[in-house]
Amino acid sequence: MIEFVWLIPAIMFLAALVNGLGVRRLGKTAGHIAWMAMALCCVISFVVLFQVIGLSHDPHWAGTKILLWHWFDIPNFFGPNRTFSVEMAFHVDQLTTVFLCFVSFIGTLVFIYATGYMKEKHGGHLELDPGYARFFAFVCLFAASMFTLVLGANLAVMFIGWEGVGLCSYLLIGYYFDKPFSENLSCADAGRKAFVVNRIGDAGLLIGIGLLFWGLGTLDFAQINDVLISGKLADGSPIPDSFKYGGLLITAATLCMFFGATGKSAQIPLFTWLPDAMAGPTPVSALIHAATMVTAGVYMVARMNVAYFLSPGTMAVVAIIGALTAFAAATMGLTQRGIKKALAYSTVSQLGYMFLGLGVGAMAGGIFHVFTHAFFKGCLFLAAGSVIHALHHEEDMFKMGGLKKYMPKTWLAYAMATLAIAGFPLTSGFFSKDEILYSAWLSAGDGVPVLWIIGVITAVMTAIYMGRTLFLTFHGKERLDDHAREHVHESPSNMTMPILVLGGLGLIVGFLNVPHALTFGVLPEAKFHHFLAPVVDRGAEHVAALRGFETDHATGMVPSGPLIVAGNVGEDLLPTAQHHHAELLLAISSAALGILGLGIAWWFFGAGLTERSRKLARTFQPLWKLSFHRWWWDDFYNTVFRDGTMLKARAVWKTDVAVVDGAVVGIAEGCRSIGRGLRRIQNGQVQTYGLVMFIGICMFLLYFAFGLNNFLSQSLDETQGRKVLQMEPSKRSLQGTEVQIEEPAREIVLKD
Amino acid sequence: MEPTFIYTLVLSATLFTFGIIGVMWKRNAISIFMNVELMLNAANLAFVAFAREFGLIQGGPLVLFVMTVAAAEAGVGLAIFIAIYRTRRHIRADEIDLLRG
Repeated sequence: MIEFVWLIPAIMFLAALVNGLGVRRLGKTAGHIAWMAMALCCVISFVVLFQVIGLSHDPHWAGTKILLWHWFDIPNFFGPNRTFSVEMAFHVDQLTTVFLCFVSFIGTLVFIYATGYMKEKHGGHLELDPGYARFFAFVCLFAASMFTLVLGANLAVMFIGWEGVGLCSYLLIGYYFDKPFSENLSCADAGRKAFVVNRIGDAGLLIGIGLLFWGLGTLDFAQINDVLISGKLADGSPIPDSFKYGGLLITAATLCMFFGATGKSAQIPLFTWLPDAMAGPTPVSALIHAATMVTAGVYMVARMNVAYFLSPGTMAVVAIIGALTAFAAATMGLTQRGIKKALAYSTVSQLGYMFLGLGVGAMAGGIFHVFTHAFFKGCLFLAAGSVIHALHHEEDMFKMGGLKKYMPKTWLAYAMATLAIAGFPLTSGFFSKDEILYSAWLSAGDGVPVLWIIGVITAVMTAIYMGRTLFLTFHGKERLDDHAREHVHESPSNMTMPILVLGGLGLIVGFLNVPHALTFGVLPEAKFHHFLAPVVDRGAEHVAALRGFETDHATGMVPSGPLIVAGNVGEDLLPTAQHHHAELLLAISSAALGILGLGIAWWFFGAGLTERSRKLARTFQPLWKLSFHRWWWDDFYNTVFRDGTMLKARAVWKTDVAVVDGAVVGIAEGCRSIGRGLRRIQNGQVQTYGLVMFIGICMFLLYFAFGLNNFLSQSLDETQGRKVLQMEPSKRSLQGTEVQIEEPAREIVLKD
Repeated sequence: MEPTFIYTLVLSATLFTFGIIGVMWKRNAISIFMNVELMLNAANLAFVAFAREFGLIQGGPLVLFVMTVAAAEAGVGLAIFIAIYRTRRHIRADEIDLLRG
């Protein structure tokens, strides 16, 4: 089946094409085409998964490459007879398979959900959204792009998918392009914002790809890894020094590529587009936040892990940016009123966690958080969508409350996902977050674990804001307005089924990657990590070997990455038992912190909006403002970049009008006024013309009269000159050919 | 050289000048036309005077040519004036300025 993995993006492209072409005619069928295509992809993905599980028992298997066709060849690019060839090729290994499976699985659920969400109840009967088929064409293209991204065997193919998800996010965020989104932003604006911000990041990615290609001479992932690990280029010559461990150019290249990831995965400084991506329909938000798009940056870093491990500077930047983003976004999420807004900041914060994990060397940990996050965040968004749908597009949590009794199934799913994301013990979020925090703690080595502290504070805040959304929405007193109260109802089963499945899985998928300290001798240990290790731990192994560190493969539970990042391993590698004690301690403390956070949320918001919660906001007015206005981050960008660009553009425009246009128009105006003046001469009166002619003749005569001698002498000179000139050839002919008769004959002619 | 030759030339020049002044000054197209005829005849007079003075034969035929041209001109010109008069009910040259810029 692996050879047919190209079917996955192909099927989705086909579905997008069919929906796109039949956009006016398909009606309800469009949704069925979409979810069935996705389900088919999901089946193929799982078949591939089982094959890959079988194949990965072979330690020499490093992925299967499926060459579709040669995209383009540049002969003699690297010198005589050495062609540079970019292949349209897919690559299947453990990392790809993981992404394929969860993207297609969550995608299927989201698509099924969307068939219910994109309908409105109008006076008793359900009516499809006017853009129903258009919506499904776009989401199919979205999924196809994401599959291309994770399947691509080289950076060029990955880039197609990378740009594809950017394009589709633009189309889908701006889906309600004729509707306003917030007080100063229309949905179309939000789409544009997402696209522009992403393009800024993409520029960085392109520069990074260019740098890597320049140094290593290949775009293929497998070859890049081989070249970096062996230190030899394809022609056998050694790689440039600046591409060796800690080298300047590899650091620059990975930094540039990480800049691309900050755009796609919404990290500081380019995260501002993601909260506004809420302008799209809720299934799209779920897709963007859970499965497609924002995970692309994490995937890219994990895929390029060898290059990243070779540049410790970049790893530090990744970890710091990740931690800061996690913290900043969590504070912003604390006070948002829109349910989807709060969830969006939660996503930014969780993505920060993922990058923190990657940056401290826990590549598998980062990917595992992507994986678990996909389930519970997908569930949260779909449940939020269910609420919004039930209340007829009311997103303000201050106008909700007490929905538990109307929507018990939605409540159940939302509560399960909240537990998971808050890190309640033994839920998936607990395991994945714990691994990242543990890695952050390890990576600090003997120093102060600053990143770990930030991560822990963020974990508490995560629990607080997630508890807040849960309690404000489903508990306490009803604060619905009349319109919403009329409509409130539990969503149909094609919407509740996916969220319950996702919520349930969100609780349990964590058991795929149980840390050693928590197995208690019965649970399978770190299966997820072991499965991914051949791909994502290659960089760590290489750098460990390079620097003479012993990697601890036997236990497998010691994440080698963080220790290498810490840089103080080697002879005095901590005894494994001590590690496990520390890990257990950290796990218990982070579980306690999660519960603490949920408790705080219950204390302040458990009864909905009460005097207690209002007092909290009043007491910490400046902090509340900082959070509610999102650190004025958007305002800063608007003032500096948007308004700055406008100002610059205006200045250029004014210069253009004054100087360039001024010159052109000035010349034209000058000609025109000269013409206007000269026109008066042409007065149409024959007698004036006659007078002018007469004066002219008079002047001519005067010239003859007074300049006569001059004129005569001149004309005489001319006559003589002509004579001389005409004489010459005949003289020559005299000398040369002895034709004597000609000359006197000429003389006569001239005299005449 | 007889003095009559000079007198004739002076007469010719005077007539020519009168003609020119008339052409410039007059507003009625017919008057302008008559002044043009005066100029042409002044020229004829000069031709004849020169021919007689220097005993050349070319002066006579040239005068005949000029008279022919003048006749043709009169024919065409008067026809134009009549056409103009039909549309405008006048032939004041200063008011006929359709080609003004």
